[in-house]
Amino acid sequence: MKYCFTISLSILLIAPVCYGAAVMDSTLTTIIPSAAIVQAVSNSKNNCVINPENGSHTGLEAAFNVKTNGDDNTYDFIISSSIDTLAGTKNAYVMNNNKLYLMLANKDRLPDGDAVSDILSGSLVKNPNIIAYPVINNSVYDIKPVEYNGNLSCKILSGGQQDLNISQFVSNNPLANTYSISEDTAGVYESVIMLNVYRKP
Amino acid sequence: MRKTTKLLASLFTLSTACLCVQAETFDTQILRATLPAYVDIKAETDVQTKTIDPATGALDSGFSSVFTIQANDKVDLYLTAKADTQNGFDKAFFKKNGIVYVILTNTGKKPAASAIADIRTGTAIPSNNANAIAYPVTGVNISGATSVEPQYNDGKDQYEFSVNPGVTMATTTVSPAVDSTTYSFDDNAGTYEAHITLTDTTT
Repeated sequence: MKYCFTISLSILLIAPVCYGAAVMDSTLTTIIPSAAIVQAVSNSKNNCVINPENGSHTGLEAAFNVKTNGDDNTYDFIISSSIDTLAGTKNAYVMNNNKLYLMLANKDRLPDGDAVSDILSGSLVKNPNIIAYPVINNSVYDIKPVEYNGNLSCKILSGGQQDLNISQFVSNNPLANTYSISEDTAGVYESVIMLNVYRKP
Repeated sequence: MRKTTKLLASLFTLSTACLCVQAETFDTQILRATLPAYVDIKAETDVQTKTIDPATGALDSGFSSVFTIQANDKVDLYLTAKADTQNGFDKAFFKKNGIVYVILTNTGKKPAASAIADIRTGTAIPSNNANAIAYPVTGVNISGATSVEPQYNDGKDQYEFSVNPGVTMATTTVSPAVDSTTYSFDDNAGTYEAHITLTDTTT
């Protein structure tokens, strides 16, 4: 018993000496990658009624919230739009006289491809079942029409903000020659607005 | 439908995005505007004026009442006529022996309601319908976005037809030949009128 105690005490005294002789350092490293999240913010202006006498509507607005963890330079914040037509899904943004417009298409009687082409041509004559309205930026951030991935889109210049409330207001009065009582049939007119966060290549 | 729309929109965006860069995250919002059914009816001529030959009661030429209809949906329309009497306006279309007539009444010396009633019996006696004169309607023709051709509703004494979305012209023609059982020297000199109305509501 006496020997055991002596041996144990000897080991306890020797151990710190061994530790001090070979110090091993360990560093734990973790990387938080840049991240972003987008959420559409439903609001009372997602739906409206068109005045059939002149094509004006009571107010439409698309709203999104974007949160990032700070590394905004990693991303492009892009708003795109689309409508359904008989020729498939088409971009709903169109430039006319250097102003951005959003096309709404009749969901019940889909417009044909010629109607889209007519509006894109800039010299509007006949475009049944599509109505275009001016787009107005209601955010505090710059939103610029750009060609992105070959499509007319809107690029948000976030200015490094980590919490962005993005709002695109669709103005009330239609682009001239895109509304007609006799050509735009009654029904529901729609456009899909999408806010995309692209990681830069 | 909403899910399908969002899916198609997503596929549209992703299909274009895959050419260059890929969206890391996205969300969509649908903007929806409802365009209610609507019809706009305009009379091409507010007032048409003709002259009655006092010797015969015939018009110098027939009436042609034209309405232009702009509609954004299929719509049912009703063509009615009314003429003023001492008891207020009364229906001015009536049918006799398969022919529709329109009654014009003297605006300065309004006929008694019994005068209209007499004409509508189909066996009128001129002395019983002073200050009311009837002329045959030769047709109601519609052109353009036609859906259902005009039919005369005997029970309601009105023409009924439907139009499709688009522009339609509706023309009502009235013969200058008078219904001889309705004209006599009992009809005082003056202006005779009938109001033709095209509407999307019916009684």
